[in-house]
Amino acid sequence: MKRVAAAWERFWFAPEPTSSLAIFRIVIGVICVGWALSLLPDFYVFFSSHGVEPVPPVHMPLGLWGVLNIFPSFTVAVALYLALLVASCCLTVGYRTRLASVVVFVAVVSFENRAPSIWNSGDGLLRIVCFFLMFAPAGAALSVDRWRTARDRFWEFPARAPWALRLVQIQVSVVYLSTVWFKLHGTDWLHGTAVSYAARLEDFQRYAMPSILSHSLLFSTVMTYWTLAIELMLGILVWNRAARPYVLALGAGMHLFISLSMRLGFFSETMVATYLTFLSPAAATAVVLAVRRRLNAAGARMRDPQWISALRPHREREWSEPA
Amino acid sequence: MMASQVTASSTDRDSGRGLGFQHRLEASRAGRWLISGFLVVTVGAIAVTNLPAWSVPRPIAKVAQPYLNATGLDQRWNMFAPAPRTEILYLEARVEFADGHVTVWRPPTGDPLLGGYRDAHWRKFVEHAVVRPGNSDAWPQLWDPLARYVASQETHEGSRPVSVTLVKRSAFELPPGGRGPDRTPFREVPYYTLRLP
Repeated sequence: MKRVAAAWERFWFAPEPTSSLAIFRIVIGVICVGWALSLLPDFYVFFSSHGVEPVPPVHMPLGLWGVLNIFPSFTVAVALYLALLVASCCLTVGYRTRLASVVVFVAVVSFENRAPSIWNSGDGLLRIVCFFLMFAPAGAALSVDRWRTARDRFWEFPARAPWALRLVQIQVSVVYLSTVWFKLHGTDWLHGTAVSYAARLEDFQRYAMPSILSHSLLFSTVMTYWTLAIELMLGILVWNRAARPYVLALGAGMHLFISLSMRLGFFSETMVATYLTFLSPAAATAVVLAVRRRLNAAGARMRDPQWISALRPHREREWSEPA
Repeated sequence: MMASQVTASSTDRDSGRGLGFQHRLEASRAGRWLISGFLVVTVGAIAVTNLPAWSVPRPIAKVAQPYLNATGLDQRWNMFAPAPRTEILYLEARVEFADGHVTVWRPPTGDPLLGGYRDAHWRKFVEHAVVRPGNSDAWPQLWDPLARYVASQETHEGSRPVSVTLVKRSAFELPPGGRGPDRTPFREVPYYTLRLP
């Protein structure tokens, strides 16, 4: 019993540097900005009383809620949208991070429950990730918050309990195991034709796959079973430290393929963003510091007067050339 | 000059500036018990709703789903499962005017790169807004507001629509590997007409 308790403590609460969390926060913040902007062209159509869903759903399943279900006016929707956009930017740069993450979550939930006909699994995943992010010390590093409280130690990554990050990791695993389970109940996945059917849905296509591939039974069979295999590996082997980088690379490749071939919104982007939670703090720290070194070097080159003088002979030569 | 020593600290050295509420909670035994309770309930509820329905006792499922709804964690990962849709779906609205002329409205389609993000919302909407007998993804409650919205878009000075008809244009994909065409011809099914005064 003691060993189980110790393992529990280690898994959820043993402090870890917050470098992976910081990168994850920045990427999710950027996705939230993009998500908000993607709503802008049709905002009136989807969220006003003159649009395609003029009123919020009347019969909501028990527990579902949303600001726009309580206050269904378009003015509130606009205010919430502006709050979402500002809070997403704040989340990205880590300014008042906790408050920003709460505002982002409340806004995402509220929009999704106001007009449920326009969302796919990617939108649901983003909502879930935003929920977990509220509980994470997401502003502890690489943030304006850090700059304001400990400027002299901005490039340090204070260690914190990673339990919120662990929830995202578990969620990633659940997504893949659950989808494999659902797929194994369909004959198209068992017969190897599923990828062909999905790729030929022309109403969903982004960049159409050549028909010689999408209509090929051999290609479809290989890709269908490969997809199931990758998803199963992502669900299980992602917990194995040695297999993790390979499994995540396969997953990122699969989602790049999905993202290029189908109009699924932010599904692939959000899914791949969740992989960042599996990045070891040491690796994440190394990445951040490498970026910092490059930025410093670029900054030094910009400040170097030789850089300016190097331009001068070229300019003079240019001017002295006959017209 | 380096402004500060670059390190990845393995311990928190912020204590001099005062720790946040969460950090203090995590540092105390009682706090960790509290968080552990939240973790058990949350992970348990996620697991329960993703397990096959037959394997979960009904009373547990009845509690887990409202908990996930309330926390915004409701989920169902059945994209393209148990089988991908094989019906290619398009939606059109035919708008008839008093003088007899007809215009056609279609949901907007953007460029593949950036427009694809906007389009995803419309593609999902179309899946719900077209008639699909026996399919729980079809939501007839969207038909009337959609027709009214289209009518409002097509109303211009001097010309008011007298009716809006929603039409499903669809074709079925044929199994891969065949020698002939890869889908059936498109078929049009008018499924809802809104008459306007």
